[in-house]
Amino acid sequence: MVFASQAFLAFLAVTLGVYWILGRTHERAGKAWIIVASLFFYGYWVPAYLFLLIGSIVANFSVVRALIATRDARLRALIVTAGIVFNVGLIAYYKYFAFLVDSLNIVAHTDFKVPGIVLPIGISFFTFQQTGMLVDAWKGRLTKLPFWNHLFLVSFFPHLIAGPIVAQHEMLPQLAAARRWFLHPGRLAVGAALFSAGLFKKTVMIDPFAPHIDAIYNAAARGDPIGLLDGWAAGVGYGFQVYFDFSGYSDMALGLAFMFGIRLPLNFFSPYKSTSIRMFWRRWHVTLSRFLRDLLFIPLGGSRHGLLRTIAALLVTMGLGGLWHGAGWKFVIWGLLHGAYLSVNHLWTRLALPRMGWLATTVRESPRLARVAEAGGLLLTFAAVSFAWVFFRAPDIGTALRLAGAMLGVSHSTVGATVFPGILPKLLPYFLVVWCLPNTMQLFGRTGAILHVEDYAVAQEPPALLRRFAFTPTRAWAVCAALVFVTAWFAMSNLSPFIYYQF
Amino acid sequence: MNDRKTIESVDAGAGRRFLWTFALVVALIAAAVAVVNRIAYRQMLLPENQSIVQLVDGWSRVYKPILFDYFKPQVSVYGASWARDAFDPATIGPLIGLRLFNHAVSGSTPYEMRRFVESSLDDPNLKAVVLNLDTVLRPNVDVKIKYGFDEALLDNDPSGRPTRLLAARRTFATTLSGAAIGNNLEMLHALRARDSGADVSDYIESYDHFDFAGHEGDIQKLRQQLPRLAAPLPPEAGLPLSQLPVPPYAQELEKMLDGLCKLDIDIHAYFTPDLAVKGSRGRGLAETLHGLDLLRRRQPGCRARLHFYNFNYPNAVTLDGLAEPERYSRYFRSDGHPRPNIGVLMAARMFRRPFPDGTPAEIGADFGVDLLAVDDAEARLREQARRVEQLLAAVHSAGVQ
Repeated sequence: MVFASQAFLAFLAVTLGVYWILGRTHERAGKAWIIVASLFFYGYWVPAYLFLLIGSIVANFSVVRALIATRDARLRALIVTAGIVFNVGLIAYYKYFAFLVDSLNIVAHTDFKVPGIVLPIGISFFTFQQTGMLVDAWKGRLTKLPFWNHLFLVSFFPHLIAGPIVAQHEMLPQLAAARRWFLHPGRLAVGAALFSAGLFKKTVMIDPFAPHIDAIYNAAARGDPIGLLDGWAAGVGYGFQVYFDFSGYSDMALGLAFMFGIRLPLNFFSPYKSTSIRMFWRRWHVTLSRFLRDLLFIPLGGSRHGLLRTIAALLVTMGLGGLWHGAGWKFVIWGLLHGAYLSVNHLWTRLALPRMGWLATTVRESPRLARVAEAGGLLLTFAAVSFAWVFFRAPDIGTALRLAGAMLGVSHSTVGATVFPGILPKLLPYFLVVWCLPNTMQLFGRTGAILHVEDYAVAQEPPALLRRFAFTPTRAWAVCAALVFVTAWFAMSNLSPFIYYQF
Repeated sequence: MNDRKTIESVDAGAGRRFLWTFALVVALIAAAVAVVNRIAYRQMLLPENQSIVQLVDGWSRVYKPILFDYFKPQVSVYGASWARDAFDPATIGPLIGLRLFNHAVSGSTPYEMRRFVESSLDDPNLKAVVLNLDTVLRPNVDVKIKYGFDEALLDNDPSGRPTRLLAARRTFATTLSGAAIGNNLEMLHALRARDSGADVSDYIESYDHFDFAGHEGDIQKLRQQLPRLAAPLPPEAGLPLSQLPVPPYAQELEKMLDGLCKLDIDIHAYFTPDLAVKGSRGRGLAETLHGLDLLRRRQPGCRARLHFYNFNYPNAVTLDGLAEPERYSRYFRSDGHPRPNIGVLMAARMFRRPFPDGTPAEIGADFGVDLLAVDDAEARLREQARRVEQLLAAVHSAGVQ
């Protein structure tokens, strides 16, 4: 079920209605009701995959319980390995098997039939999340796990199919036995406003723009001439599309969860305002970055074993991170590009900057130079990220290379060959939003609905202007939120599914 | 993690006041919109309003599948605005003696056209379909779907399964969606203009006229070409079909035919006529020949009866404005699309009805032929393409000068 659909709104109304009634009569049943609703939500698309989800949950729960019950270190290592192999096997079959067969056919000139396996939605998210739980149990950070809490944690519908990826230590304390399960008007108000903002991002702000971006990629795929500005419009435009789409989804997820009193972790924080690529990854899909760091980068050596090891770890982590997004070499290239960007950033901060202490001092001492440096960093980061997006979005590597060539000015086309003049005025408002306006996390940062928002200083200490617009449960805010919701609701036709559903 | 803290972040009283206001505003807007939309929708179901409903743009992607199922037509037209502007159900229906529905939508993509066809297939009343091949073989769009197109409002999903909760979805779409609001305002405006006695071209754009003013240079050049066009051209050898590029969306036509060929109906596929003075949009011989070839290959195994017409070649319709000085085009509207009187001529040809009284004799003598029913179809198309090229060269040189 897609959040931005009439069916989901009906589902939400029923779920909240029953939850409200239970909260008044059988408060303890609220948790069970959310689990039932979540399983219905997942099974609505392909009911058969409900068995896959439940199977995965039962298997992982058994492994966690076995890890908790076992003292022998060698046996524990064996158990956690078995659990991880199970999870990797599951995802490998559903997500990567066809890709592996296809790659084998190309490399070894074989002719194996490529299986047509339908990817269960959200498999990357719930598998990744449970793998994190296995590692936590293995390391002794998870010592108690009632089955119903495990089931709730994984299946909770606001984050089930596209995140945020929740760590067990963030969610389990919220499911404590003493918790009261009832519909609190304050939380419902905050959740409704945040959900409306996310829905607006999706249905009003970005979906009508998506076909224009598709047009450039289709033209490139056909082999039409692509100019330099066309190429940049493709990269920048898709960057906006995926940002508004996915951050809108995350806002909705956070809002929905808070309606039931559950706080989910922040997932986006104005990533296009980043002045370095490291800052970008601290603000883009934050919960995925965190898992990649904890489960791959640090075990691979992290940044404490010399520069070469750090770069190798970065490239492997980001390459695999790219592959997590989709079974295709273009996703690996996208990941490796980001690995390379991060490596350059490390080289710059570890090798170049120490040798240019005078530069750092000069910039620090001159506010104007500091602003110029910041603007330069922002533009460079934005350009690098936009360049990488064409590999993520293009239907194949050939098309991506054609677009990348155009962006670098090495195509044989004129500057703005096909579509750029038409798309330019459409891109400008998005620049304004991502660079000049506060984000939803800042607007809702003080409501208590978002985990880890306190890590972002600007959300805790917002400027005066922002404080004026930040969420408060006033009538004015209620009217604005209602107008935002109604506009987004009425615009809910011709929607493309959320981009991150496919991952 | 202090759950108590989150509960208290917005207190219950303030939250309750917020929710009441929020719900009240949403309910008021929704109720107002729903009332207006339901009134408008009832107007849309009246047969006497169908010219406006089906020819006026707006949110036809949402409404046309719904109206199709409501009216259960015997003939349905599919394509982009070239077809939408040409086929007025109020004039063509009586001419051919069948209930006609214009299912064409502005800027239709090949995919949308195919899905609209697929959504119509279950209707046992359907006796014939008219397919505008320009839309699928010469599209001027790159996108798969456009805003307003909603798979969930069609009778079936892309895999052919019936759409779940279709009635509920359609009720919502015609009551509370942005699609309803957008369409109804436009349609109500047109209905009011009609009832106030305005000229039809004031409220249905399909009926306005192309203005020849400013095209005198083109007209002069084209006139000089007319004697040459009348002379028969030598048989055009040209490139063999195998060397002509296959239209990128040809598979959409194949898929349309997959469904249609199982039915006992007539399929009238056609390329729309273009105004020569404005410069031809569809100059591709490749698309026309591939279209012919595709239909020809399908013919033997197809239960439906296939017909194929190319109206886009130098004839009395496309050469409008050249024979005698005129200010406005008789057959084409301001943007160069065919006016509904061309639709009447095309429908008369397709359904073997006499042309309306007053139709110029040269149109009766030469305006479209079923190319699947003649032996020399390919040679004719190549010759027509040569003539179109000749005309385009004339317009182009006039433009350069």
